[in-house]
Order: sequence, then C-alpha cells, then structure tokens
Amino acid sequence: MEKLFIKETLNSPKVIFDPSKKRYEISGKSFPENSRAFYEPVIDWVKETVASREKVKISFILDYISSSSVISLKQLLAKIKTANESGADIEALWYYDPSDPDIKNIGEEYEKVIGMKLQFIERPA
Amino acid sequence: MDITILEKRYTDLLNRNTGPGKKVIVSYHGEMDQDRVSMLSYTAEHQLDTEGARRGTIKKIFNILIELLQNILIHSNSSGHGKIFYTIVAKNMEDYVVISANVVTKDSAEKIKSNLNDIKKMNERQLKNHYLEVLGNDSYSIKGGAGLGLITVALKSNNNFTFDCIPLDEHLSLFEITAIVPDK
Repeated sequence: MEKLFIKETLNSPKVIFDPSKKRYEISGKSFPENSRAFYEPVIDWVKETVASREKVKISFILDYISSSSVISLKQLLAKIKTANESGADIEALWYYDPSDPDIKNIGEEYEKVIGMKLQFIERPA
Repeated sequence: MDITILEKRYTDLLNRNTGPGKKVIVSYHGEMDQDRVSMLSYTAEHQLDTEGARRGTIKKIFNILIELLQNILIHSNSSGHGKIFYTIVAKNMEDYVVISANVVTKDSAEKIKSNLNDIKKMNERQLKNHYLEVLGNDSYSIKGGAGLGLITVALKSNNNFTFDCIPLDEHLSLFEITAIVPDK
C-alpha cells in the first residue's frame, strides 16, 4: 500500500494514510471548493487497498463537514463498503464530539443511506 | 447589468441592520473565491464568539454561511455572472440574520425559486427525509452539490428563511437569501 499525505488547509482536512505506521486518518474541517477533486485521491487509495488484504482502520476526526463534502465522504464510505465486499478489511472509525450533534448525525445518516456500519467513537472533551 | 442596484441594496441592508438592538457582525461586498468563503466564515465565527453568542448558534451560522457562500461560488464558476456578491451577518434584537446575494441568470433564478418554494412547504420531518433522499441519490451534478446545501440552510434555520429576486436587466437577477437564527 502506498502512503498518502494531504496537508490541512483552512477549508480542507489533513489526510494521513501511512501503512508503515498503520496510521490512517482524515481530520479537520472539510469545506473545500471542489470536494470531489479533494477526495478523489483518497477514493483511489481505497480502491488500491483491496489487493493488499491488510486490516485498515480509517479514523474520521472531522469538526465540520459542508454539504458538498457530505456527498464526497459518502462516496468514499460507499467505496470502502464495496472494497470490503471484494475482500478488503477496512473499518471506518467515526469520531464525534458529544456536545455537537452534527457530526454524529451525519455518521448515522451514512449508515442509513449506504447500509454500512461505522464504529462511533466519542471524542474526549 | 446595472450594478448600482446591487450596491444600493447592500447599503440599504447595512443601514437596516444598524441601530439600537442591531449590529452588523460581518459584511462584505465584492468578488467571490474560496479564500473569501474561508475568511468570511472564520471571521463570523470569531466575531460571534466575541459577541457572546451561544456555541450552538455560532455553529448554525457558520454552517449556513458556508452553504450560502459555496452555493454562490459553485454556480458563479459556471455562469460567469455571479462572482459579484454580498453577504451580511448581523444581530437584530434576539435573532441573528445571515444574508447572501449574487447575480444569477433569470433561468437559474426560476429554478432556485422553485426549489426554495418546495423546501419552504416542508416541515422538519419532511425536510430531514428530503435530505436523506437527496443524500441517498447517486446521480449528483458534476459539482456534487445536488441541492443539499439549500436543504442544510433550511434545516439549520428551522426553515426560517426568506428569498428575494430583483431584476437587474432583461437576462440577470440579483438573488438574495436571508436566514434567521435565534440565539437560543
């Protein structure tokens, strides 16, 4: 599996996919101008991971997700679901702040529309 | 296109949101780009925090502002007309108002009007169902918007928003949306 690093900006999250450290994380605020283009390399990375058969846990630690990013993240999670059906072993860890219902709600909405289980993890205060 | 109509409207709105019990938190009039979206959203967030607005209120306003501004950004790129915009975040007595407007073609204005009129008729449950329906639909536009942004604005403002369409010439209109968020 290849490494994937994307630097955080004011409107896009940090992406660290580092197989050597078994660290897979998307964190920060997500409202890039073109969310489709932003998440494309992440979706491509998931596609390539199918062949590796390695267990991967991707942490989604997001503080804010704009509506266009909601759609792109849905496409990413749907790709993870498809990859798992083809033999990959990718788990999605969905972190949320208990004092802010938005992020948890978005995760629950994904479970409904994609038909995929996310592992919800409460962020420390 | 008569740009003075837009400028006059912006000035009138600033005046309308100034006075006893009222305060303009953030305002901008000019050309739109992604840096502007970030700058205005973070400035509004910071200023609202300084004003002592509740955390939930600040989040709702941040959310609404980004959706309205990105909606302008996405559509201005394709039409080439809508890059000029204005936005105002203001406190008006117990409520916060988020106003944004840009130039759209008359055809686009009709589509947005029809979309917003449909949204206005929905109660909270219908809005949430509509949100899930749109989110579950895979046939998005190439830009990935799918109208989810305007549904989000409606949800975050408890469907308390208004819109206005002002003709600028025979082809273009100024489309303005005002969302209201009580500080509670």
